Amino acid sequence: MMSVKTAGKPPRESRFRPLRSPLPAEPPVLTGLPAADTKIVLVLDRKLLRRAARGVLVLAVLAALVWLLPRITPVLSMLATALLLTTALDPLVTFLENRDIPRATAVTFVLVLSLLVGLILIRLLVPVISQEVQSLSVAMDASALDQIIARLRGDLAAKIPLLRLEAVDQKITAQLQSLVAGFLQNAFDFTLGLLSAAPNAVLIAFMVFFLLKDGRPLKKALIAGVPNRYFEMALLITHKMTEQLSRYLQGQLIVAAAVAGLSVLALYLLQVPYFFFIGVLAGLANVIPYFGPIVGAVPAILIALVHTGSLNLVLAIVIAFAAIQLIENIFISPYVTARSVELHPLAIIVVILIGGSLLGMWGMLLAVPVASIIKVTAELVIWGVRNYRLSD
Amino acid sequence: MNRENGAPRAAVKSPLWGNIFRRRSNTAEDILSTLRQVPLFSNMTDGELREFEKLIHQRQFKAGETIFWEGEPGVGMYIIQHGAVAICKHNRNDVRETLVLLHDGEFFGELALLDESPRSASAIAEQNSQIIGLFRPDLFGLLERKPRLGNKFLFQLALIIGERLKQTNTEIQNLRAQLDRTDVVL
Repeated sequence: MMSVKTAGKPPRESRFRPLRSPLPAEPPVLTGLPAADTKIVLVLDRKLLRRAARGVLVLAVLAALVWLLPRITPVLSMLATALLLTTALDPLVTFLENRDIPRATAVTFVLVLSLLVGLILIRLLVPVISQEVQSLSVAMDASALDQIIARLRGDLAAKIPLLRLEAVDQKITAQLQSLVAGFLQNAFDFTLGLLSAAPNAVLIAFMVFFLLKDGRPLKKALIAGVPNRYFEMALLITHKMTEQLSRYLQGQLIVAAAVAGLSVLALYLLQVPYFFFIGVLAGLANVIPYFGPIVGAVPAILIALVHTGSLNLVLAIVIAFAAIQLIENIFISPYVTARSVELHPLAIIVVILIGGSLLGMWGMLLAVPVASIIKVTAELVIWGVRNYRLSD
Repeated sequence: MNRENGAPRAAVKSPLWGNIFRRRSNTAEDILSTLRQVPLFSNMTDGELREFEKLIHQRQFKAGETIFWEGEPGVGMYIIQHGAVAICKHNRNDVRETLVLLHDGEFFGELALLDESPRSASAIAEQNSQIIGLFRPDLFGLLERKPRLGNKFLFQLALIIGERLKQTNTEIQNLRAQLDRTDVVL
């Protein structure tokens, strides 16, 4: 006799089940064929219907997002700026809260202090920067270029008498013109981008205030909507993601500020004109791996060439920037945790090029942080899926 | 998993002032009254309990629904407000064995507040249950912001874990004594 073993789990119900007649069952007709008036009706399982409805809902939400995203980009960029500022200011608020100051008071104090510092910086820097940019554009006009070319031509003629100077002239002119035009365009775009954000500063400040004050209840309310099965995983992933990204962004900010400070100091000591503008630019550009230090040094070298034409100064600037990179790599970065999220160098170069082609200078600046956010998120989601049992 | 329940403190707020100034939702009040019953919070003032209430997540589980599975990374502890939860382990034949059934006011999973090591057992709702959870990321945040309150909680947690360790040691001693007696009989 065959024995049938029952499995641990009951057999899965079919998605389709025949509709039961409410009438009492009639004796079966044993003809082997269904009667002419017999109807086979299949009813969709509730579970399947629910899944289908959920699928349609997800598709509708995705379609709405695709339609909505281009229309709300300015709001999203403001929100992203607010989130970035919140990340930067949160440690200060936590520090004050740690000293028994209520969170609302700590947030107000930090924001007022930041606004004051911001206003003082704008008051001090905007006239200087605009003057520097204006005089820079004046200095880089055609006559200045002609002077540089003449100077370089003289140097070359003295050192290499056999050189065909007409061909060299043309090449130098073309190269310098494209370099100067590219640099000026980037500098203007960047400054305009900064200035156009100013009217939104009040709104961003409001966003930062509420994100700092109510960030935790907001996060709690958002996570409350996650189904039970994914709840613990979502909680842990959100926490790890926030922690890693905060450390990464704070690290980037600290390093950028340190490099900007060192660059301003070095350029001031070397008596390079517009030292402040170029130094700050170098600090910001330092966020871009590999390209950053070059992007930071090129304007300084160009300006040194335009103003003095001295190759010694150019050499001094190159040495100064190399020394700053060395200091950054040996003394600053190792003490700033999680500065890098270990992206492959090839991936870094590709994302920087993509960012640059999409959004110019801003795209290059944001490319690596955005790629890092995507990488951290993907890694954590994969970790969650591997470690949590997401189905019964 | 603790079965000790402290007596709930009596509410002494004036109904008039309570009504005028009361903005706290019923959910928050429910959470506070549950926390007051749990030994982990027995030495906390009302103000301190409110700090914890802000960190607590309230969840509803249907009968048979899994709260967490054995082997998953631990995130935090749960306290049963209403309902019943079975703490289970799967044996070698993959058959579920219930270790303990917990009821209102009892808590479980507290070791996950300390580290991310895998859960030693699964927790499954035996009835429709309302459960509140306190999770490690929120506790660590509290330790950064309010270290005194965080340490007060951790001290209480250490006391409870220590108490449980003493009980386990006594049980091991008893079992060893029983085993020795069995050897003599054999």
